[in-house]
Amino acid sequence: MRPTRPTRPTRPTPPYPALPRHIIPMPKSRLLPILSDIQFWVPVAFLAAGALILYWVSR
Amino acid sequence: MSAGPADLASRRRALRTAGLLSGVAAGAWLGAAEAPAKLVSTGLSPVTVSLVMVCGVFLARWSLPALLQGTSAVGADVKQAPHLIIWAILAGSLWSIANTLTVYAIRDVGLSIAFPLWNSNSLLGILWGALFFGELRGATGRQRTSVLGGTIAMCVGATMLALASTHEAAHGSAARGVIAALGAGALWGTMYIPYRKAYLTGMSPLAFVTFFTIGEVACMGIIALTINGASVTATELAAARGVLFWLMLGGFIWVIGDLFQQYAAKYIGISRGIPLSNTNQLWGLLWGTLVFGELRRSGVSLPLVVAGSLIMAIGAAAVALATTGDTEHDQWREAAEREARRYDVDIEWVRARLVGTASAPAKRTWIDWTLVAISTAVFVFLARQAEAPALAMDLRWVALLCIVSVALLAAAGWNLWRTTRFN
Repeated sequence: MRPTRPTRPTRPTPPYPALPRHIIPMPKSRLLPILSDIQFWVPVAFLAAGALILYWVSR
Repeated sequence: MSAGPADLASRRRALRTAGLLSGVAAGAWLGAAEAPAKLVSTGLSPVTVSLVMVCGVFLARWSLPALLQGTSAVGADVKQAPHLIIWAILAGSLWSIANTLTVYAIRDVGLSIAFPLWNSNSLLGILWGALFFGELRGATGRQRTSVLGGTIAMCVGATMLALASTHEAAHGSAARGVIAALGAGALWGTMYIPYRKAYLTGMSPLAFVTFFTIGEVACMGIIALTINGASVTATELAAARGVLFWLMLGGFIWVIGDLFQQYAAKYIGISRGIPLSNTNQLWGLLWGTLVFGELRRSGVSLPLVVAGSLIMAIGAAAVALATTGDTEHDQWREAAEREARRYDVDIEWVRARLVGTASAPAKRTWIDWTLVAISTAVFVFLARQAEAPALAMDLRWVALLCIVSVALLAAAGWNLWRTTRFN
């Protein structure tokens, strides 16, 4: 008879249960996720560059 | 969502059909939008022409969503994802600057050189789609080749059409014109980032364009005032009362095409939707050739037109046939869930709207009917002042192209309504 393998201690798998919101009230910012999003700055950079090119070609 | 794999697969097929039909209809209506502008041959500056067209666009972008879904649906979408207002205004501003750059590019290097340069926007759109939103990730080699090869073929076809059908002389600095055209392409290609962002989050295109147009009209107004000045703009507008209707009608028709383009971007992604709607050049050529007899002028190469059109059509077919597989759809879903987490949007709402399902039936209020009435009144008022176009037209071809365009509108619109209720 084969010896049984020792069972490994189980670990909680993500996603971990979130703490109830009433325990840690998090102030929500609508602007922060946008400003920290690289996908926002790519069009903004293109817009700025486009405005400069337009200023240059229209002179 | 509690839908099983079979339901999900069938739903994805239905959405793909809706997206493909929208892409085809977008090409037809964006191409038809060039026709009213051709009727105008006044001394208006290009910037003022753009400004008037954008005013028509503004009216259409507020009245059509009000008519199709009601402003309450627009409000409900914004309540779920208010951050998208900034993205929509950003996209509208990008569009206005790109559109004005094309005017200068045509002036400096001519349409035949400028058009292929800014038409590269679909390639940049594919790049952003793959880089940021998981488009073409998980696609088979054949699907990728189909999309990329088809898009490149369309760019080649567009170049041939531009070379064959335009022969205006350049008037300015070539380097300046090339930079303006490349800039327009880069801005339009990048404008698809906000598009995709909004549609992955589940926003209805009707809600997105309502705010897109605020950026569009505000930016265009600033451009007109900066470049022309207030007095020149006002003088030109007062002197052009007889053609305002035609220009604004062009803007209105353009919005119908653009709405279909937005639905195509939502349901088949920017890598497939944008190249398909770029077939507008073929439709523009049909209007120019059949209605206005442009190919009868000397110096137009007919073989080049036929070859360019064929290559473009083959490219469009290749893009349309590159179906999105389940693995790629899963990548889209993951990108959508990332967006929902980042911007704290209800994940169930995002999942439902991603597959075009509505939470509540649209209701129209007095606000919607007021918007539609104002828009109609402005167009009726301008139509009464409009001068009959002096340009000769073949009315039989006008009738036929109108019938085909309306048939495409009906087919794509009916399919979208049945599948997504315009979500």
